[in-house]
Amino acid sequence: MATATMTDPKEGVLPLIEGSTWPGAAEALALVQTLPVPTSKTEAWKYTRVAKLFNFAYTAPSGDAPVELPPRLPFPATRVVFVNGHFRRDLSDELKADKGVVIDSITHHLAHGPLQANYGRIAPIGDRLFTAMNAAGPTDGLIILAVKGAQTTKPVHVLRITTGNGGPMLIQPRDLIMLHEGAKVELIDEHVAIGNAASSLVNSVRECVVGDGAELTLHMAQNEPDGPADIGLDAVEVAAGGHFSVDTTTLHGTLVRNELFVSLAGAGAHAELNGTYLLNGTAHADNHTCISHDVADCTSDELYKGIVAGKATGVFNGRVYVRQDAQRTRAYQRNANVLAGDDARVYSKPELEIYADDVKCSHGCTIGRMDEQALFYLRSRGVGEAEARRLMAHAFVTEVVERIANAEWRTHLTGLIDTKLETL
Amino acid sequence: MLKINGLQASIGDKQILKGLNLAVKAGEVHAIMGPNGSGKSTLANVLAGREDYEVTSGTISYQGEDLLPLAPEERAWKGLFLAFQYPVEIPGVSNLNFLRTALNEKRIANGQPEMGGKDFLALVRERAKLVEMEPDLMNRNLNVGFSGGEKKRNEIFQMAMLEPRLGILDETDSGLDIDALRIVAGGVNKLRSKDNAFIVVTHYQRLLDYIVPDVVHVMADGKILKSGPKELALELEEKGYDWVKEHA
Ligand SMILES: Nc1ncnc2c1ncn2[C@@H]1O[C@H](COP(=O)(O)OP(=O)(O)OP(=O)(O)O)[C@@H](O)[C@H]1O
Ligand SMILES: [Mg+2]
Repeated sequence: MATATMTDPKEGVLPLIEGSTWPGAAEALALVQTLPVPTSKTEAWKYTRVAKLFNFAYTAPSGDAPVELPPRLPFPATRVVFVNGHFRRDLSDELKADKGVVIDSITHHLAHGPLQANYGRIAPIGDRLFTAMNAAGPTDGLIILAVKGAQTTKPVHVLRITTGNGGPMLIQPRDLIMLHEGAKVELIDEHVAIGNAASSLVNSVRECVVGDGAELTLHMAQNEPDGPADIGLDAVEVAAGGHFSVDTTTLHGTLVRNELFVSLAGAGAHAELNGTYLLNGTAHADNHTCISHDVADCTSDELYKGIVAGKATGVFNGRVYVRQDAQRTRAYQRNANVLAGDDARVYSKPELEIYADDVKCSHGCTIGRMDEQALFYLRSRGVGEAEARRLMAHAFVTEVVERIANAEWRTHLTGLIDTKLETL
Repeated sequence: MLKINGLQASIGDKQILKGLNLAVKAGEVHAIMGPNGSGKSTLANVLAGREDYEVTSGTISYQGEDLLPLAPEERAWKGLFLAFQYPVEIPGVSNLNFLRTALNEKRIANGQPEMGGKDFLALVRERAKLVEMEPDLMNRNLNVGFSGGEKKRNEIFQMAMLEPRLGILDETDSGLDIDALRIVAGGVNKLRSKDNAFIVVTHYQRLLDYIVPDVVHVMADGKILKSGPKELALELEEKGYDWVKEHA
């Protein structure tokens, strides 16, 4: 036993999560001990190597690090700040403004019935080591609870700051978003690294329950040069007539893994998944999505587009699962990539598993270079080469951005994207 | 304005232009006719700076300057314009935004101030009239979903906006209905002046009824075989290209 422990690559992690009193932590810890670290032979992790994440002797994250907050978003939003995974009420806005919407640190609600009914249920551990690690010792997290018909009047802006230069930290955010019947919540999730945090690991799990006819909109922006490794799972269950839409924009990232699992669990549920990744340097972004059509008459629409330059790597894996009795499913999926540079890598894999017979599903994935003919056309009219490339790149990703309903976020995102495109 | 001497160009291992000579003076319109595959579009693309074609020998002087080292955009800034035989569709790039970028880059390169939004739109309205462009097309994505004729009209509209010194029209008449042909030709005629010149590549004598050329060239197998006055086009229509090849 002793020798096994000595060679266990999880040695740097285990001491930090042992003894946690969160619900299900003990069971999760047992799984952490038995589940192997994924290797390139693990199908789901083929292109994203995580062994190196277990080479660090992590320390517990400190939430009271002094931070200078980045400028506010250029439109009204309720800002909730987490520093190294810890909720910072002092840095957050007034959170009680919207009637019927609770926004708080999840730690204050762990004993409540509604939490217990869903916590760990939407994102079961299965064979996922990272989910087990998170469940075995969460740092802190966000809870949003919207009662029947309640709405956020402005988006909730969750700012997650990781501070650098303090040695490697293991940060494990654990969120629960619950929308009761007809509730509407819009959430912006932004990760920001201050200083060089590249040796830290942020391993997040967020569970979302979208009730009957409820609407959850999630915007994720990952723009972290020298940011921590960012392994995240969003698990979402959408009830009848519910609507979940998400856009994920990755502009920088040391190692980003976005897992998104959506279960369409009630008739008429709809999911819309949009993603953009603009990568250069040695950035690595892996979007692993799975949409499960569990019942009849649900729809999903997914579009991910990326430009990958330099020595960066983009991975897209899109699984669409249609259960046998999920008749009249409509599921659309597309992934398009532009490879810019000889050392850039893109791996794209759609996976359709359809067991119902009356379905409309389509999927497509492309990996190509920028259209030289179009570039020449633009240049021949007097648009300089760099500008022509930018125009083309902008045109390529704008298709994704245009699908985002919130005009203010769309404009803000367009600005971030254009700034990034200057550097590609 | 333009002097081409002994121009040879190839793509991959395939030589397409095989020692081409051409001289165009300001104020002139030159027509180039010739069978499919003779290299007309290749010449047009080489002039515009397409990098796929390798110039292996010969010279091109444009307004007294060596054209060959210049990038496509630099050529455009110096007043060269190619209306494409097959205009490219570019999704996500708006017709007008792109044109404004092109126009202003050209102005900056020529030491002129950028044109503001209001002046630009006024110019758009004026020049659109010249080719009777549907206003709706302006705001659409560049050539996306345009009909063949609309694309060609858009080429001439862009040319009218950019006011080139040397305009090269590669089969702009192909795919135009009779009314559109008249309108497009009328647009070109209005742009003609003693300071600029046009090279018009066409298969049809009909266009030359509207845009009356000073010189007609017959191109075959990468060379200009015969040049003559506008009547040469009529003769070609009557006797075919073999006649030129035999008498060259
Ligand atoms: N990118 C290319 N790759 C290979 N061959 C090419 C390429 N572009 C042109 N060619 C060849 O060069 C020759 C000349 O082509 P070009 O397009 O210049 O002819 P053209 O005179 O414009 O013909 P058309 O009247 O049909 O437009 C043709 O044989 C063509 O197949
Ligand atoms: Mg041609």
